[in-house]
Parts: sequence; C-alpha cells; structure tokens
Amino acid sequence: MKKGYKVTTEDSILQSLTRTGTAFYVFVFTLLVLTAEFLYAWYTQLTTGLIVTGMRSIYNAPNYMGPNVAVGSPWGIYITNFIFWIGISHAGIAISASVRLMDLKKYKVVARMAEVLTLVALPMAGLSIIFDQGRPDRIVNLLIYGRFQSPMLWDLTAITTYFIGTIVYLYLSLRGDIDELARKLPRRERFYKRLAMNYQGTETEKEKHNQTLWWLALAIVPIMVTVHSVVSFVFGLMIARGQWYSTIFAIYFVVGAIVSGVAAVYSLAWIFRWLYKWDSLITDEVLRGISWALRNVLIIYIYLWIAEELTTRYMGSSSDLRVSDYLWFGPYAPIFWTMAIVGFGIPALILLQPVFGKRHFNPALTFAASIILNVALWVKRFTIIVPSLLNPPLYQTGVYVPTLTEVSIMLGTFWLATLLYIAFIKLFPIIDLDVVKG
Amino acid sequence: MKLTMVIDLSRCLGCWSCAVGCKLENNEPIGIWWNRILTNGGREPDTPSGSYPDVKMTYLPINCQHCDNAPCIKVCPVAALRKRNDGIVFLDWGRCIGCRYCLIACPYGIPAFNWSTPVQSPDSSQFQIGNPAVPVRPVGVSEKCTFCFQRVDVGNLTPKCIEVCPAGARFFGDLDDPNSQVSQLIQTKPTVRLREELGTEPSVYYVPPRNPTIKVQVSQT
Repeated sequence: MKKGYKVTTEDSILQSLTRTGTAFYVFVFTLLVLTAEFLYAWYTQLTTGLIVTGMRSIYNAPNYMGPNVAVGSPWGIYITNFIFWIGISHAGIAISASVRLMDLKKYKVVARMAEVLTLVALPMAGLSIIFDQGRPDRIVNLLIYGRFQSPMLWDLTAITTYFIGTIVYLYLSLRGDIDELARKLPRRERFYKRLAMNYQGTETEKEKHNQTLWWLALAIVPIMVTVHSVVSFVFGLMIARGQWYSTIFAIYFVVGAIVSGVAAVYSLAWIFRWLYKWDSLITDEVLRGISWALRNVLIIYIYLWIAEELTTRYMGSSSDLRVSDYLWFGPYAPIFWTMAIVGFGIPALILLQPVFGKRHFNPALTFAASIILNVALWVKRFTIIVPSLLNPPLYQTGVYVPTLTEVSIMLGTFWLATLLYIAFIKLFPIIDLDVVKG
Repeated sequence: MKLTMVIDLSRCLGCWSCAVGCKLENNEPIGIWWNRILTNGGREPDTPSGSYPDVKMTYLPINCQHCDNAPCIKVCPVAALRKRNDGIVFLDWGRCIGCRYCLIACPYGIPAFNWSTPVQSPDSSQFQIGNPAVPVRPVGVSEKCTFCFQRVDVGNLTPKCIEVCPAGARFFGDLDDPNSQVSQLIQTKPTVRLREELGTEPSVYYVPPRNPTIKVQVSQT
C-alpha cells in the first residue's frame, strides 16, 4: 500500500480483486506448468490403462506358474486422495453453517473462505474417483444402471447433494456482494450485473436471503455428516479384509474429516491474514477460536483411534491382527509411527499449549500444526486402505509402490484446487463485505 | 437348480491342469488366472510347511465360489455382477466401469482386473484358441470365473476344469437333485466351505484332505 493513501477496511478486502503483483504471475505460471504435467500424466493413463499405476489385482501372476501368490493392492493413492478431499470439503460449509445457525458473528470473517474450500474440494474428490476408474468413459453407467445397494452409489448421491447445496448456499450469500461489486468495479460491471441476477438490495430481499440461508444451513449440517459416513461405509461394511469391518468407522471418518477440514480452514485463514495483512480483520482471537475447535476434535480423533487399535490388538481376529502387525512392526511401521508421533503427536502438543493461558497461543506455530495435521491425515487414510488390501486372507502379503505417473495425477488435484481457489479470490471478495459493515 | 462344485482336496495333485484348461477355454490374458492353485504349506509354491521330517503340504485350488450371498454383487455400483437362477455369478464386462470394488469386497480375492489391454499368448487375433463363445475382454474391466456358463448352457457339459482334472478331484452338478454326484458327495463326505463364518454361502464345497502330513522315513545312521 502506498503511503498517504487512506485505506478503508472494505478496500482492504477488495485488494485481492484489484491488485496483482509479479509474485502472483510467477505462482500461477508455476501452477499451470504443474497442471500441464498432470494433464500429460492423465493422458498417458487414459490411453494405456491403469497399468501405469502401481495398483495390481489381489492375484496377478505373470505367465509362468509362480510365484505362488503375487499380490498387489487394487486401490491406492487415488482412493486415499478421494477421502482426503472429502475430508477437506467437510469443515468448509459446516463451519459456515454453524456460524449462521449458532449466530457466531465473530467467525463470520472466515465463513466464505470455508465455503469456497468446500466448493473447490468436492470436484477434486469426484476427479480422484474418475482417475481410479478403469473405464471413465462408462461413468454414465452409474446413472443408467446405478444400484442403491452399493456404497459407491451412496457416495455419488451424498456428494452431488452436498455439492449442489454448497453452490446454492455460496451463491445466495455472495449475491449481495456481487451487486455491490458491480458498482465498485465499473470495468467488470456487466459481468457482475449478470451474475447478481437483478438483485435490488432492498430490506425484504435481504431478509428473504437470510431466511433461505438459515434453512439451507440447517439442511447442510446433516448432509455433511452423511457425506463422510458413506465414505467410511465403502470400507467399514466390507467383511473381506482385516481391520475394516467395524462400527467405529463412520464416526472415526467423520471426526477425522472435521479435523482435516478445520485444519484446512485455519491454514487458509492464516495464509490470507499473512498475505493481505488482515491482522485487524482475522484477529488472534478468531484464530485461537478455530484452533480451540481443532484441538478438541483432534483429541476426540486420537481417542477413537486408540480405541480402535486396542480392540484390534487385544483380541482381534487373525486377519485383523495380520494387518495390525503389518502396520506396527512390518514394512509399514516407519510410515505408521512417523505419522503417529510427528503427524499427530507434535500438532497435538502445539494445539494444547493455549490451555495453559491465552498468551501461549502462537498463530504461526499453530499454522504449522494445521499443515502437518492435513499431511498426517492423508497418510492416515493411506494406512487405513492399503495395508488391509495388501494382506488378503488366504493369500500372502503383497507390495504396493505408487508410480510417478500415479503421483503426478494425484498431485494434479492439488494444483487444480489451488488454481480454482485463486480464480475465485480474483473475482469475488473472500471475506463477506457485510462483516465490515457491521 | 443350484449348480455346485465339489473339490476333493485329498485327490488334488497341484498340477494346474484346471487352471490351464480354464485359461484356454476362457481366453484369459497373460497375468490373469480365474483358477489358481494355492499351496497350503511353505512360503514358496509346492513347498511344505514345518521342519524336516515333520512336514505338511496340501493344495487349495481356488476359483470363484459363486456365493449365494455374494459380497461382489452387493457392492457392484452398476449391477455388472449378477446371479443367474441356476446360481452362477457372472460379470457383465460390457457394463463394468472398472471401479474394482468387487476386488475389494471378495473375501477370496477372486476377481481380476485388466490393467492394460489384454495380451493373449499365443496371439488370439491370429489363431483361434479357446472358446469363441467367450469374448475377449476390453481394457479396464474386471473378470472372473463363470462356471463356464457357455459350456453349461449348451447341454450337459461341465466346466472345463472338471473335464481336464487328471485326478478326478473336481465334481460338478445340481445340488437340488438328490441323486446328483455332488449331492451324494456332500451327504456322504465331510465338506467345508472357504471362510464360511463370513456368511457368504459359497457354492464350492471342499472335501478336506485325509492326510496332509507327508511321512518321511528317516534312516538313522
């Protein structure tokens, strides 16, 4: 900001729309290059088949009669990524809906960041599922022959409902701001006028919007619980493998998703505050409030995790124990213990600090914790899926190593999500303009 | 009509004839076996467990169990897996979207996936090998044992694995008919089904091996 130029809070919010620096172009260019690399990897997979990934059937013997049992994992990092993105999407609109339902005015400042996160994350989850299909050209069969007895269809239904709900919710909460932008940014007036769809800004109109949003928020909260429960049912209802068939899965996944989502919202809020110097808008108090929620759900998650491990270790069935041994002492032990200690233990310690007094709250350190937590949760989903698949009863233990192509495609969702998010903040204010109007 | 298979494990030689016969009949590409013979024993194929001289080894030929309560049918999102009235579970690879949920849900690890365009050896585009009634699968779909329904449907033919078994270890027939060979066997011999505790109600019965221990004469010197 130039000196001597008086900045109002509203201008400060709109700076993401009006100012574009060199760093921005460099960042976007890098993302575009990475996206091109992802598109090439995806093209390779589409033309040659899933053989380019590290996934294999349970029994996938070569042409000779042996080795006895060549085992692979039929699902891998694509499904992990799917669960991860669903988890990220989770908190977004849920935080926003809770803010509205419980009238938490203080947190309204992060509500829109959260909503957009959901909107960006859900298509990435859908994309991850499409990557995983052997025949993406037949994906429309899900609509033609879809069977509601399959958990896969529950996913499809819950996610599309959630996505449509999110779009409507975001649009309605954004409409007043769009109308205002039409007046504020005359160069884009036509675009915003079209998008505002004849919004007048009268008191009755505002009242109607608020009412609709309240009811929509009420509907979205149960949907958000459903969405991640059905993701857990994809695994939790399967008797075939060790460590999956368990009642705890739905709760476990929902809580895990809330940890992931709240951590992501914290990361975003901190990044925006640092990027646009919004210390007065996103105050330490707001950040501490989010970290308080994050700490509490994290404690519940760790508790559920310990309960699950104890159930398995104490008297699990042989197939459960085989998977657990593989994780605790086998080839996955380095991943598992690093994830448990560095990925969950250290963030938990950081988040527990403010318990001993407000002055112990460190926004930057908590930001690091929120990033570590999301990485750890990605790995956690991986260790839920792959070890169980690599240890099929009746067969020997297999090996799964993701290929470079597979990793490129998986990472592609991250580049795309970042690009979409950037596109949004260049077109719309990321903080509700009502916040500064009081 | 309930088509059932009985496999007598004390007769099984572990010769893979059934697997090879199946592979030819059903045009299975390289890497995919609808029928496999697992060794119940050591870590390597055809090796016994235990330490010399107390060693133990049996074979476990395993193909689709054609469950009455099949997990793969339950989870298939597009109903590509269906059960016929005679009990055969088959996979419609013209409809399969390749999500591999059947591979995940099957407790027996049966369905196999075409990760790449199937390669036949010898090349089936030049020679007609196998049964022309079984179409070659496209890339990106699952496939599994069908109890050779192309053979069962045309007449009183049995699946190929029954026909080629040199030890006469495999039997096939209608369990609803009390005079059929399989009904007689199940009535007279003790039979088990794989992972029966899961409640999948498989249609493949195993007669347990009588004497899995290989007696080794040790000459004392």
